[in-house]
Amino acid sequence: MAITRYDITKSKIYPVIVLEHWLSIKTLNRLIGFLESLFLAFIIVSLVGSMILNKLNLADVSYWNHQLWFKLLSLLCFVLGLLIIMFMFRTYLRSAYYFENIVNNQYRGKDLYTFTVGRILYSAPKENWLRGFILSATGQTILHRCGLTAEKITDFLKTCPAGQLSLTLSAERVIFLRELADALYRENEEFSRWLYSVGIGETEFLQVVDWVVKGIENDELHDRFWRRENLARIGSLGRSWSYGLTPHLDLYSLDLLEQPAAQYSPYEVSFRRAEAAKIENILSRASEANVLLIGESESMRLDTLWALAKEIKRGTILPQLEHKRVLLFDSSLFLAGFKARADFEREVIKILDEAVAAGDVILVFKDFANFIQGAASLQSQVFGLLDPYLLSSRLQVIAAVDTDKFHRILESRSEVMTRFEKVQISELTAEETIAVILSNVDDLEKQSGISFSYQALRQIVKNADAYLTNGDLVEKSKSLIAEIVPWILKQKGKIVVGIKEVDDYVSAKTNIPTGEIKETEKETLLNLDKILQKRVIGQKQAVLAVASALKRARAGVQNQSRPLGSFLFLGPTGVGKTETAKALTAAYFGEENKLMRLDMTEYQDEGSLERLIGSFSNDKPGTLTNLIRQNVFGVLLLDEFEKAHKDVMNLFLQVLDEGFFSDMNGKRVNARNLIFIATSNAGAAKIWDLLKAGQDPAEQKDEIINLVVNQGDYKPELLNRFDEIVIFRPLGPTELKQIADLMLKKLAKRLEPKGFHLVVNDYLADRVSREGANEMFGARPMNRYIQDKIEQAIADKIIAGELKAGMSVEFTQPVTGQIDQFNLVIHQGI
Amino acid sequence: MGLTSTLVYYFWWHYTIALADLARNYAGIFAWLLDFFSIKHLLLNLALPWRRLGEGYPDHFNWEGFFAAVVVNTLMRLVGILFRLLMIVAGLISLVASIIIFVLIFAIWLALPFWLLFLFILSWKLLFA
Repeated sequence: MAITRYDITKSKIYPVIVLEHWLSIKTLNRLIGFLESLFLAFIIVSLVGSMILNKLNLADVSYWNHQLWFKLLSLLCFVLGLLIIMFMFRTYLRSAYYFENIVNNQYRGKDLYTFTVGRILYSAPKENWLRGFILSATGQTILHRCGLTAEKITDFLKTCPAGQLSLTLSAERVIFLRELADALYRENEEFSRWLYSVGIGETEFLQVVDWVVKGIENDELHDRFWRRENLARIGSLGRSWSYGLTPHLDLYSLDLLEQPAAQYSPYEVSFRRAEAAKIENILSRASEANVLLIGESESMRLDTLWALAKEIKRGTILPQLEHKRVLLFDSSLFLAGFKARADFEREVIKILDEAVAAGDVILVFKDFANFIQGAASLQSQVFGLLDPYLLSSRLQVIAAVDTDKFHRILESRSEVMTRFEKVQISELTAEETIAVILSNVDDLEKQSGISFSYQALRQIVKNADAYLTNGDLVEKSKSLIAEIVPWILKQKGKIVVGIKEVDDYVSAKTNIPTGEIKETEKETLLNLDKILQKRVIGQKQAVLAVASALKRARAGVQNQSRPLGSFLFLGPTGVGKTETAKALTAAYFGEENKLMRLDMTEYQDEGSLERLIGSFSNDKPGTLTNLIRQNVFGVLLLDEFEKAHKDVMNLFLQVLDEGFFSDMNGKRVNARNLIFIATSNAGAAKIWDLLKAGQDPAEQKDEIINLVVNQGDYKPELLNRFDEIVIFRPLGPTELKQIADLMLKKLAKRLEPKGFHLVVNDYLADRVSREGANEMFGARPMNRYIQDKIEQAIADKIIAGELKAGMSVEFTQPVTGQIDQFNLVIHQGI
Repeated sequence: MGLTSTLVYYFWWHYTIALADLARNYAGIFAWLLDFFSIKHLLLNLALPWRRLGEGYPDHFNWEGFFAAVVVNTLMRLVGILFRLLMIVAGLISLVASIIIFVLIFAIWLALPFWLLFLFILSWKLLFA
């Protein structure tokens, strides 16, 4: 049976809800403020009035003076009484509100619903629970967090549906706001459709509800300074008196518990607690309590250490670790001070002895591998010095190291591996990162006055994952938020950050078009095939395939977990394969130098894979890794792909399928914002044969593909990974002439700034195309021909002083007898 | 729901849940004061040398070194005991003060509705005095 208005009255907190409805905490606060001022004013007036009457020394002054006092005292008592009533009511309301939001509600298990739910149900007009939810303060906050503006909410309310709710009130369980919101979402189709139109599904909606409720709870709990969790943050006195001083160690280390980042919020979402708990367990052992903390980025390792420091500060740590100090030892700073082995070793022993004598030190080596290596450069086998300390119960050590250095330097050293227990930090998933961001963003919002919609925060995490390369996802997302805040503040009047603002910022930062397609970009995309065809002659099918793929990618309909596009261009030399890649880069990415190029003939031997992804043994980064990390967005051209070694081909199997690969250190390299174009001459002979037989090679694509597979040029599974295999046709005389014309015009354009005008006539284009191109190499030799015959002739004339700035030069048909030569005519004026 | 029933609920809350809350909150403050002045910790480590400072005993026994170590270590322990005792006393004073304040607040809370009544009656009487 659905909830009725009558059901609501059965709750124990119903009287509070009624009272709060008519006299909210806000109103009470205002009234209390007013009465306090009034009370103060009466006291002042009484004192001043009494003094004046005494000074006047009038007859009956004593009588009036007494009368005034009585009246004022009466008013004072009345105002004080009112103040006490207000105070009592406020305490009553806040107490109920408080019980409502935290988990330890003493009514829980007995009552019907929580305070927030009660307020919504009580204020709902005509049992329209949905309307009640939308109109409530909490409901409004939730909807604003969903990116819905006040205007949109008002518009929806005009057509607000009946607001069904099939929840029943029972003594067995309490209805929380989350349950109410979920029921409203599921049972009111128009409401869910409305939210879905702004990208909020059921899961997202409930996450927003949790976020808002948590925010209210935190504010309420923070205000209650007398709660033990809040008081515990103050710390304690006299504990350190029982432990020793560490003056030498302090020179090179940082006490994490004393840092602002260790200032915990008692109610924050736990972050890296699982790893911190593992460390806690290992450090609590009687001996060999040493941890090797392995994490890809420094922020991941530090976040784990902060989590441990917070647990110690909070006092929720195992007894063995109570009152411990976590000292982050900066090994680089330490190493910088020594040139001689003896001095270094003496100081190492001194700081270790100090740490042991102090009795409250957890020593953290910030970069343990670096410390070992640095010591080795001083000819010191420092591990031998550390070993007795690591073996004993007197000192707890955390050696932090990145994944790469762990594999390269430490993993193979058995003496290290036996003394330490590994704790590996894994990167958080996007969903986990969103939860962390949601619990952290409140403080930033309060400081800046900016508020983020839920979708904006999701978009931040998504963009950080897709477009930012350095650091782990939490760090990247936090940095992005920190950068967006001042950027938004500069734009006057903007206080709400939505998806659009996030996309705009990321686009401006990375030059990668994200979010809505802008007018100029729309123009380019819609006409991309035409733009490309102006430059790529005679390859309409290829151009259309590439343009369509890019449109799909930009519209967001392509598979997000693959590269933007991947194409294999098959065809003879000189037919425009590379030119298509260049034209695409110039048209869409704005400049040709966004085209990255790898000549795969250089990657034919056994060591090719190492050269591409980096070498673990000699710590050399890979060409492909560097290229992609530096240019996350662009076109990667793989020339003569069929010549690559089979290991390289296998690498691209993964890259084309999943959009990423791992470098030599196991670090993920994201290639999902790239277009891969592989060119190949495989099957070129067959294409020629088909053409000679009067068939269109593009129509015989399957036959050509079968041939290249049978020849062993490509494995079928690799070919299947490409979005499109495009057959490039050999060029005919007309197309070659068009290309010649284009190339000559390019030359003319290059000459223009120097004041020379090259007349590109039909004869010149025709002859260049006939003599410059050939069947074997297509249009490729044409460039050389223009250099040798045209550019050289112009250069000779310039040097001879016959061609000067302001003159035109024209190549015409030669006179009889000089058939292999051009007739070069120079005109005065342009 | 009328004003009367709201008031009835209020007074029920005032003398049941609110009192329980007050007591619970005070228990939290009391526990925190114990923790803040580290009373248990200081008692357990009362005789430890101040900041663990002290003189090591000589590797090869000699009277001079031995007595020097004994004197320094005894002094450090005495300093430790003195400071710890001072802190413990400060903590105990704070605890006693907190108990007195809690009893006062408890009493004020119990009498608050009566105070209210008294103030309104007084106000009425003074108005016509």
